[in-house]
Amino acid sequence: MVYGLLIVGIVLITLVINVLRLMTTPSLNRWLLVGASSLVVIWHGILFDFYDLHWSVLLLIATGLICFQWTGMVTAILVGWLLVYSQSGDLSFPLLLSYIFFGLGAALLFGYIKQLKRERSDRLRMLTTSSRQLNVFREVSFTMQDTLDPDRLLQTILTSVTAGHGLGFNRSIIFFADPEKDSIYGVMGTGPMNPEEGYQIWEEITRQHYDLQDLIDEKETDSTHDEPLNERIRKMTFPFNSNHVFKQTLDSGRPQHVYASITDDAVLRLLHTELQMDECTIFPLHHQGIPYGLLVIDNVVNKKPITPQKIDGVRPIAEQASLALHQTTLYQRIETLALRDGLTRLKNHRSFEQDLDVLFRECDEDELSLIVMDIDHFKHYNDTNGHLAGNELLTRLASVIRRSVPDEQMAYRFGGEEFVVLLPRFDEIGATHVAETIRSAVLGTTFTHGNQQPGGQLTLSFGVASKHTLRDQTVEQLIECADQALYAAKSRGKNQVCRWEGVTL
Amino acid sequence: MSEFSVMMMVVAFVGTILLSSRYCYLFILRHIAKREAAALHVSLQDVSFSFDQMVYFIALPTTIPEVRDAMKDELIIEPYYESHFFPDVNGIQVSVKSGQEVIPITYLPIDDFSLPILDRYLETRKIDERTNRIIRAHVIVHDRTLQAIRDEVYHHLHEDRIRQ
Repeated sequence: MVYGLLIVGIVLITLVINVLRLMTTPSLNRWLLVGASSLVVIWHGILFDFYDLHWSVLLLIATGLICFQWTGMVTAILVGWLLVYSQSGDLSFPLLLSYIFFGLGAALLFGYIKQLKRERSDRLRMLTTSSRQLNVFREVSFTMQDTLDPDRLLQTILTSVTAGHGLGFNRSIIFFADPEKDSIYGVMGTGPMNPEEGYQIWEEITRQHYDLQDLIDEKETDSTHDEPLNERIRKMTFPFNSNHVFKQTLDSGRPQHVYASITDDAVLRLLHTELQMDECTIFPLHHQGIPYGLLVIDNVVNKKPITPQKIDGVRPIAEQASLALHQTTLYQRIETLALRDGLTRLKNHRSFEQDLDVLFRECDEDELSLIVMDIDHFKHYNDTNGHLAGNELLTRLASVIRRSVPDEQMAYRFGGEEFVVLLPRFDEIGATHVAETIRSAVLGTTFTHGNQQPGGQLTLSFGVASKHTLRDQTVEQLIECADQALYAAKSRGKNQVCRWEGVTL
Repeated sequence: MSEFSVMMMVVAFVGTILLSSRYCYLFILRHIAKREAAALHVSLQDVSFSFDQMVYFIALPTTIPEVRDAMKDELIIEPYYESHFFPDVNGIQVSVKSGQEVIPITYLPIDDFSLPILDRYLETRKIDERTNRIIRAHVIVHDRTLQAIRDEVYHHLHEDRIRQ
């Protein structure tokens, strides 16, 4: 019966105090646990006339140790010993010594358990950090390997360091370096302008359950959250050759961890003023000694400190990004060599054929027009002034054409002294108008030795054809008809625009 | 015989603490979290959360047969506590059991459990760190969250198999 009462009493006391202590602060929680053990000891003493108090005090010592480490243990030993003395009237030093030995043994055991738990906890934290970095690095590597599109590459870099699925920084910005033009300029960023905007974006992302790939894809659409930030950073330009933190970072090749609010550095001051940036880290993006730019990260929203461990976590991504930028740049150069005319820098004949194929397929019901133009008496110009002057003329003429067309990416050097312009969504009247604009621009431009041409000036003849006037809707026929119209312009006296009017070829 | 009573006392006390602490903790957590949320005029059912910072310990797509072929119900989703005497949830771990071996799949630390509304309240000092921790802990151990984590992990394991 008394044992039943003992157990019921202990369970009740423990349960009640367990509930109460968990409702309080951590400190009070510990005091209540010690209090619970004291009540249990008292309850036991009441039931058994405090006969075994010298034994039950051990529970108090152990609880004191668990709750307040060495201080708790020593206090509990003294209190327990005095309690036993108050009950027995015998001041037993061997008992005190026994309590001390018990306390030491228990302290060693609990210390060991605590150390094991701490090590386990540290290992879990390290494993979590390393696994996260590895996962992000892996996903980013796949995405980077998958693209040679510079914009997508930049989006991948930025998103991988900011998104929750990524390294979780609040904001990241990429600046490009151009030593030849003595310029470092803002290119792209992701993140909010201020904490309030940050929370809004964050809640939206949380609601939508985006993953890393979704966020990278989302940035390719018009619905990006980052437009205000991008508008501001695209206006930022710094001289490459000045002594500022960007240059220092590129020169040292190492990340720089800085506070923008407490510095005289011109770059950091601007970042602080324009973007509310304070603690931030700047990573160089360079490969084989070639500086490509800089990656800047900060925690503008939650203000979490950027620790050395976190900086180390970004470094592999920054290095991978540098390599990817290097490859993309090389690819772009090769593409330029393959698809651009080396003399005039306009797109070349191969480019024209590729673009025309694509446009023809895509325009479907939409109109598509083509202008073919040819320099009048170019042979005479070459014979009179030499081929070097001829090349110079072609270069100058290309820049006039580039300035006179709606989209300079749609102007091509067709071959020799012949140029073409593609005009999606232009009918033959609109295209004729564009051709007239080019013709007027050419007439209004002074070319070297142009006055030695027949007629006293350099002129061009133009042929225009539009898709809807063709009998067979084919690429070949569009070129053929524009060429026929050009031939007509030549035969009607040159320096004029002729339109293909749908006459059967 | 009375030494036996001391042993019973110790066993009853320690046993009650160990067996009841986590249940008491969850009970109190729910009670306080609901009270604090009501004071903030926030419905815990409608709070947006995301476990995008959940860390996978295995490479995806995985070739570990036990993980690759695990059914949704075979995923073990459990809160991770560091102490029995002072229970405080530190995260959610997901694993799969294969015979005697437990294979860890992923872990979500509570500090990385994304609850933007709480972060906003903490930043604007509408709540203190303790309240933040309590509500966060309540939401992370809530059945709805655990089920969502189960679905997410299963989806990831299988989505990547499809990609593979």
